[in-house]
Amino acid sequence: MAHEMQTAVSSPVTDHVHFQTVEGEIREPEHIPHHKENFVTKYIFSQDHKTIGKQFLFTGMFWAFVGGLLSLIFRLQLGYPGQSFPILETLFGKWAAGGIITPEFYYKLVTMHGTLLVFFVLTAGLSGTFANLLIPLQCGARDMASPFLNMLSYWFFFAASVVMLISFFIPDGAADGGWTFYPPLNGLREASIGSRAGADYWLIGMALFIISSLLGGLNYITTVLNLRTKGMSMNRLPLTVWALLITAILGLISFPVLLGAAILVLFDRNLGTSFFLDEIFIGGRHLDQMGGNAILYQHLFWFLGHPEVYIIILPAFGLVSEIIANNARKPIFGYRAMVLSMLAIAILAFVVWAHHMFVTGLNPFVASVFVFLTLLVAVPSAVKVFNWLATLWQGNIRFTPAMLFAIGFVSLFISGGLTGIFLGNSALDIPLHDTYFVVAHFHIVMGVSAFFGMVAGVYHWFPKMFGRYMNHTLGYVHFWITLVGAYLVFWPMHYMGLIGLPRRVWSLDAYQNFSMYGDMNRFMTDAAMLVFFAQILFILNFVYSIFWGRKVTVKNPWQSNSLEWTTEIVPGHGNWKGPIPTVYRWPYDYSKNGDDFIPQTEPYRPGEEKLHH
Amino acid sequence: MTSVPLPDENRYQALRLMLWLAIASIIMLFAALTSALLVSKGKGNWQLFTIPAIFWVNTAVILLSSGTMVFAVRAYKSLEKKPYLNWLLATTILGIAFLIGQVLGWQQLTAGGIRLSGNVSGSYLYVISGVHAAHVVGGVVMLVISLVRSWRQAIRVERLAGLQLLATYWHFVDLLWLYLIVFLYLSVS
Ligand code: HEM
Ligand SMILES: [Cu+2]
Repeated sequence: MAHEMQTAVSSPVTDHVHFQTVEGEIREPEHIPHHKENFVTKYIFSQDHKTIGKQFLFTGMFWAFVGGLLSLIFRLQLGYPGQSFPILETLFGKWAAGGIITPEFYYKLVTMHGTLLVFFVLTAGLSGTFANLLIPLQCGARDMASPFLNMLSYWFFFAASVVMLISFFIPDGAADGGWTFYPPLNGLREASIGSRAGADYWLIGMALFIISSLLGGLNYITTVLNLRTKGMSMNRLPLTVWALLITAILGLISFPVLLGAAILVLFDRNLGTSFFLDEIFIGGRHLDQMGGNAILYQHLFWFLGHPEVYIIILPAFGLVSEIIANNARKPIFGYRAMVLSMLAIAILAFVVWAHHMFVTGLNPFVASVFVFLTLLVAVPSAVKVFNWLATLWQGNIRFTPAMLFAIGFVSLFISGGLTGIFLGNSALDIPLHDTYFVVAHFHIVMGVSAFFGMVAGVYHWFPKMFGRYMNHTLGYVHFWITLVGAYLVFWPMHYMGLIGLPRRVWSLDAYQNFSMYGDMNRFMTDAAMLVFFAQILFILNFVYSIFWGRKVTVKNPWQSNSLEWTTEIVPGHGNWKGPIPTVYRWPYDYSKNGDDFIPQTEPYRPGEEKLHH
Repeated sequence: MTSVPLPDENRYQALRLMLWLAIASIIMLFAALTSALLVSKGKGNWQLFTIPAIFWVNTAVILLSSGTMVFAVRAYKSLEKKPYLNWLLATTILGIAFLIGQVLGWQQLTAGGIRLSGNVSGSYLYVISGVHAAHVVGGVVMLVISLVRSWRQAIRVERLAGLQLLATYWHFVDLLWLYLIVFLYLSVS
């Protein structure tokens, strides 16, 4: 912070350069002072929100690759049980002795796959990238409210990443107690191999991660509320910004609760407390720790955990809304309903957590209250789906790769949302809980959907980030393989779950009646490989296009209305060369009065109908 | 490191909002810990004990430090450097005294048979007061920094807002402690 103090300049007064704040207009410095930038300050310890956004994106993509690879390895075990893959032994040694992965290794893989994808890819990689890139650009701000804290946010994420990465290489390996990290399995060093050092690394990594996301969130919220340009009232904000704002608020309220839980688990593990431990025997020995309550951990975890799933999906909502309106060349249908439904979802997110705990002996009356509240979530979710479809309806659609992924998102969100309604009924959830039905539900509605939203965002804003286009043909190939492949991988899981196939089991052969799914499992594994292969195409396309992609030659390649496209093709530090533009209208005036699009910076024309925006 | 500066008024307005948001998230952390305590207590197997008197002394100390902070801000506003420095120094010393007092309190607890790894009621006291102390440490570090800085520089009106941010945070950790000690007292004795 000390640094920011030094760079403050007093503001010479000019008449035309304004800055809208909550309390009124405040003048802006006439020109941005030029600092000497060197490689380190420009690309590494950068405080420019656009660079920080790219750092989040690169790190997120790295983890997506690693996390995806982990899932392929455990899918090999599920699809080809008992078959030896010598390469695995070469790579992982004792963890895959004889070319077959051990149960211990299997649990590490599943745990780290979940942790990395949920937190490091779809939270930090998604929000971190797009909140950083889009909030200042779409609100009309020169940077985040505190560029320094913003930089810290990335470096805490980086530190968290390093800790998680190291945990793969320590002798006992990474954590293995599931991404939800329930005690007592994770609360005791003796409980499993991964519960030795690996679990401590996990907790410390997550603590750093939480600090990163809190620091980021402070900035995102403050920037949206305080630093919008003149004329950018809240009801003229692009839906992306609304989504990212609500996401940040959710994170700010729920992540501290997970931090609290993590602190308590750390004490249980290392300092002999018994917050979550009670009456445990290990190897015939009765442990000293008494009087704790393992279910309490679940309450704390899911109080974050449920909002967390919306922290993941809301940014995708925003990106998809923007991309669909832009590529359907139509105003987004029901702007207000979109905002209100996101708010409703955010509020409901805090009162439904016990739907993850229907089988913990929850009082049935309490459960029925949670059933009711959970099913209420379907209402705003349906509103959003309806609005996306209505926006697409009779649109003059441009099928760019971004648009295809956005439409794919809507499809996946519908498919996965419907199974949520099954699970939200406690009577149905009691048999379905802990089966592959749940795995199918959350991969389709959250995992793959949010991934589609993120990828759509990358294709759409790639020109803004790098001044080049990604290759569209590869984009189409990427899309079709991923969409079809993802359904092929996850759809059969519903049926498996319905007959009771439990999740988190190393060998499905352990149960006679599930061996009938042997062929199906092999098929799903093969489909997963295909999907992963398509992601390699995407990475190649991404890297290739950064250096050699077709150059962007116009400022506004997608004929979009929002402010980020009024900057230079590759904006420098401070975003706009001249004054920040003033905004006169909402960002969704597409196909209005014979105009294909009317940017937010265009004043109302004489006689133009003034809508509420 | 380069950053695009905001004009002072905007920057402090933004930092003020950020501080309040940070406070909201700290409140959520303690809401989680204290409601966890209630759930554990509800489960039974809850040992009652008396909180050592020194924790009440510490409460007085940290309340007092909020008072001295108010005077520091007041002195700053009237541009009186000497009194300002004295009040700020007093606040810092009281803050450090509070932390030392907490450590003594934990030692007395242990000596009295309430160990960290004992019954969960005692564990909560250690953890909750410990996490709170970590937040006080943060405040003390900021106090020391601004003390050193003001020592060397003249009082400038522009810096008032920064001091006010620090004061807000300091009053917050103070009030937070008041809530926690009353809550802990009602829960364990
Ligand atoms: C109509 C909307 C939805 C309803 C009613 C619903 C309901 C449920 C219920 C009851 C469970 C618990 C199943 C069990 O463990 O037995 C569950 C699991 C889950 N849901 Fe949903 N859900 C909905 C939408 C979503 C959305 C939009 C997301 C994410 C974006 C999501 C992500 C998850 C995740 C990650 C899990 C599983 C976590 C785990 O156990 O590892 N759900 N859902
Ligand atoms: Cu949930």
